[in-house]
Amino acid sequence: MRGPLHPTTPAAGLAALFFITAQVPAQVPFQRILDSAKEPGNWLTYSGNYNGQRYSTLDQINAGNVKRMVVKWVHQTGTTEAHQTSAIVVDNVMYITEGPNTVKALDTLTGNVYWRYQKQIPDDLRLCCGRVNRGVAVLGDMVYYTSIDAHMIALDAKTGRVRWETEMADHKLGYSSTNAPLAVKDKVITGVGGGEYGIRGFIDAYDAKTGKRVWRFHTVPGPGEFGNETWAGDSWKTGAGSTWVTGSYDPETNAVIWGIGNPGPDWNGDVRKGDNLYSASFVALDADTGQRKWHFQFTPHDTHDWDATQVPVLIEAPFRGEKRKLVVTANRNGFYYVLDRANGKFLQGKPFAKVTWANGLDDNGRPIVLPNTEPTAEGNLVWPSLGGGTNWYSPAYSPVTGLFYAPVREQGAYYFKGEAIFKPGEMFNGGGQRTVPEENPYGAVRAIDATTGNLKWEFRMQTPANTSILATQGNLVFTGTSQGDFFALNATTGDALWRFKGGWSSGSNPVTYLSHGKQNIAIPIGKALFVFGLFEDGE
Amino acid sequence: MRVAVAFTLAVISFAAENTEKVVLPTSADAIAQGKRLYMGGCTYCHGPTGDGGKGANLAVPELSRAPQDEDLVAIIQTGVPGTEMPGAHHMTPNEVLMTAAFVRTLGKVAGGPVPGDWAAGKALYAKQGCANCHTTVENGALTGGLGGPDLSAIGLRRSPAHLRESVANPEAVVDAAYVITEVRLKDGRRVAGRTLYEDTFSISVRDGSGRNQTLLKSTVAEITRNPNKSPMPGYSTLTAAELDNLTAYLASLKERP
Repeated sequence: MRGPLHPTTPAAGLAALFFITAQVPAQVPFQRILDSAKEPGNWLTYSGNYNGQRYSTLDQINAGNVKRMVVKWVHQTGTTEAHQTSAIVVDNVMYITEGPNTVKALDTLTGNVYWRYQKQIPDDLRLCCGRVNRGVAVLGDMVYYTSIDAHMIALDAKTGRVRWETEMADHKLGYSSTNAPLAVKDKVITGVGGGEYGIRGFIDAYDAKTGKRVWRFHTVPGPGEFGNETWAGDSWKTGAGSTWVTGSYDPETNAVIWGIGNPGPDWNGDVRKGDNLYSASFVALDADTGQRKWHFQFTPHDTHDWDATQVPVLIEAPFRGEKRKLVVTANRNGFYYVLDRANGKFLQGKPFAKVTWANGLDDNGRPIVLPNTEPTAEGNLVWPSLGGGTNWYSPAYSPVTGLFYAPVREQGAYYFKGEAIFKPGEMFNGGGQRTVPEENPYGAVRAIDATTGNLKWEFRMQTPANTSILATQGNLVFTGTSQGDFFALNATTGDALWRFKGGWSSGSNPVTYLSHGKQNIAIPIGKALFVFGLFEDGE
Repeated sequence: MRVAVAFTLAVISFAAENTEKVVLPTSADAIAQGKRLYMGGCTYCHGPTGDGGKGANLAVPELSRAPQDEDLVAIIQTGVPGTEMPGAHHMTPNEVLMTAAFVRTLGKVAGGPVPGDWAAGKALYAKQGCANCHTTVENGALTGGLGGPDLSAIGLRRSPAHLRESVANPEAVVDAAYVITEVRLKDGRRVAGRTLYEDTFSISVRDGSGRNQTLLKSTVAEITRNPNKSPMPGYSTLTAAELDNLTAYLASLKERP
């Protein structure tokens, strides 16, 4: 309706403008994460989507034009720790973490810092592997962060101010946390680190609004619980089973699917005879109650530190002629697995890297373990090494190519068995490894047919893989190396199309999103976050 | 806890003032106990023999961060700030000492006097042209060629027995960094030399003329190397006495430039 013009005072106009600006918060209700496929311009959860595929339908950057990709900005952290974050992007705001204790919100256009939160942390941490962190979760108007001293912290997404903080476990007993939480419905779900300290691992769910713990699933069952009989004597008490990599979520069955770490002590299995459930397993838990729906153990009675802390990749694909809902994974133990997502039943498995400890898998997926492959006092040479055929860094899956892209490590090691005496808060690992001096270890991106496990192509890397893989609908896969390379491959053929030397190990997670409508790729390399996009004249 | 705090303070004062000497235990029992502690807490990074994994190599005669025993004790007790080396806050003072005593055994070079005439060995080193490829420190300055390993402090890193064998038979143990790499390019050219750096997309080689050449792997047809072949000529024609003399000279090289 056309009406008389009402003159407004400049102050009132300014106030109105400010009010409007302040009224645009980054609201991320659960439904938005659930429907993340509908808004590929944002990266709303650790793996980009609940199915753990680290795949984006964005294709502005594609196999035809990726050669025009350049650095848009760099955010220097100043940290001395490894920079392992997986950025979260919501409506042109990026949330990252930096070891040892920092969370930041950045402007995706410039990299400028909106806010910075730094947690006070104790100096008597018990850590195997550095004061690292792999990112935050977002839900509603909050950002969730698990700190290296095993606290769960909710921050205001607009200001970075603490809304609540809950101690998950006592860091003096070896508990820590490095993973990005997983926000599901009205809860924030997380795991813990500490697999080298004889902890009793768990997966926790916290009320997103209050920080009150809603449920805890112990990864080592107690007396009277199913699986406790897989631990000799009292060994369950120090059975470890850490949970330090973010899991996936299957909305159809309301199941959180999460990978469990090694049993404790790592290399001396004498003191914990039995299969040691649920170490080296995937578990599927009811997201509302934490009740176990199913489990699958990849390495019963593991003695090589082969955590199953890989991101479970949930796919829907034809398996032996029938469309099936599956969980697929390349495990640290060197085997690739296809499981039924509804019940965890083993369907298919074969090595994706050199394996000398088992002669394949039986009909139930249990490894057929070869003799003389256990750690010994003198050292026993086994492939893969302690670092595994792969490790925590995410694989990717493209529904377009049907390929599972695995970051692969080809390296063997002499495994040693040592004494393991438990004292609370002390390292409890019982041995170690020594790599083979005459071996030239190497890495690869292996593109594996997701349902058969057959190798489609391989891109060889000079050093064993240490970086997550991102796949996009632009027919690209992105990953990095420990020598500071970040590069793009043709997702169908494996041909190298673009590369950038970042000058230090990447060892982190690439993500992609739209910044003001333009596709960017972000990845930490060394101690800095690099953001790439297509070169544009006049910029 | 009280004991640990007092001990920490004591260690700090050792490190800071160096007035009071730490005495590491020498008994077989203590070292065996130290080994057990080491195997339980240190191998994850340093490896069971001290030379592998992600931590510092401990199987060397001189630890750069811990030349003195008190430095070593302090590092075990409190860690190294800014690195992944944690402090063993849980260990008793005695356990720290025993662990340190064991760590010292990891880098022991077989001791005892080295037979041979040092000065005659030095003359032989010059006469044989070793300096064409190797560097040593003369009058405070590095001299020599870059083709082979730097020998200026080789006496700290290698036992006399190892040095003697390396002269007589260089192919007994070939340092991977000095293996000759041959790169055949797609345009037919060949470049041979020592690999300075190799990554997924490139290789840098120092050729026989001392020139560094970086080649993109997209231009490379083939890379070959024989890890058992040493570019160093064997000196099996030397007499036993000459070998002793040369060994004595090499074992004496302990100067860091």
